[in-house]
Amino acid sequence: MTDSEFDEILHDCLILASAKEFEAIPIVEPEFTRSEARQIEKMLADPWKFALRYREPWVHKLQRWALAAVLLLFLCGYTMLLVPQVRVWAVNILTDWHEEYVEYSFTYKGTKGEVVLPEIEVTYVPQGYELEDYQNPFGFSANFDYVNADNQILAIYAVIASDNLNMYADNEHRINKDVVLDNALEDRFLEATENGWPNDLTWTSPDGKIIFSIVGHLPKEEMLKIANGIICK
Amino acid sequence: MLALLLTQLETEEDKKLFRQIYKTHYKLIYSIALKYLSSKDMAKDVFQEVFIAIVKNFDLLKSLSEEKIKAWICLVTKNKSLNINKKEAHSVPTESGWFEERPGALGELANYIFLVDEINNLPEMYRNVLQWHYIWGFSEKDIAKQLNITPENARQRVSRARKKLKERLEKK
Repeated sequence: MTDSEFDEILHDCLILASAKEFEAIPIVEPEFTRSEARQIEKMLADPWKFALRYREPWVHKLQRWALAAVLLLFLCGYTMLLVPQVRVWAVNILTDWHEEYVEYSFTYKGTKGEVVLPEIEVTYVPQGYELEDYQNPFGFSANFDYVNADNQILAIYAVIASDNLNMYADNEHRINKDVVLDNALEDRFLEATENGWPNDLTWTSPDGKIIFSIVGHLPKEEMLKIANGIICK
Repeated sequence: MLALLLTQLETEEDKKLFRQIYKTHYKLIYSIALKYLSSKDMAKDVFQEVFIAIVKNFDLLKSLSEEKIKAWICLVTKNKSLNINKKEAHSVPTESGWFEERPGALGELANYIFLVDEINNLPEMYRNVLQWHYIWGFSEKDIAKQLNITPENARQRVSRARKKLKERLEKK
């Protein structure tokens, strides 16, 4: 027998010997805690599922994402501070987004107490809507809430555009559509783009001193009809 | 780590084999670890490390007979247990060449099976150096490092143990 033949046999015998070496070893049942035993049970039931669930603790994931977010913010901020072109680009993007998707504001820079809200009369509401609530707090604004049989609310609101009053219209779920309203200085119609969101028509009186708003689940034509039917006495 | 590696077990056959290996050997793994380590917690660490090694080498284990799977597990557990306290731990080979099935190997081995007992009758010092050298592929320098002896001493131990076994074989 050559040396290399002997080494091959020795190699295989050593492997088998390593199993035999522990044949007489006293077998001890591992003492797992209840939670360890539960984890092992889960691991054996479905190793793949267990792996997906336990491969990384959520705290570690959270730490990693938080660190990434901080680094990203730092990098963005640093770039914005140092590169004027990036700053201009960011401001332009922000301005566009702000104007198109976040808010419209109506500001009347008059004198406090100059305008008194006149008596408002709603001469038209679609069939089925009943007045549920009317409020006129301090004579500054007027709220008309109508409700139909499906519990859909039609809200009509009028307010004096006093000093620096901003009125915000949520148009994140609505899109701006052109409308022409009789006797309005400015008008905006926001049509809902998602189910469940109402349309919103907002306009100012011809002198710009009163802001009106109608919010409801109604088509544009109906809302315009309501708007045209509102009379300031 | 183990959980991450378990994602490799995608097929039903793999999962079944993994379950089978676990159920058959988990007590043995723990018992071997406990033989070399005084603490139950350390034995549990080895227990987990061995299962990591099992999943890492799953393709190799799939190709082995039950007898060799057991041998592989015993070797890995012993190795991990011996090295758990050492800073420079042995790395379990991921290359599988040293343990692959050779066609007809067991047939040939039947004639030399007495060697298995002879190996186990060797003093542990000799048995360990032979395993490290012939199974793990450690060089004399590596063995010397493990035993804190000179490479020349390590070479002598391997050579003496080998010679002893060859003499037994020739006597037969």
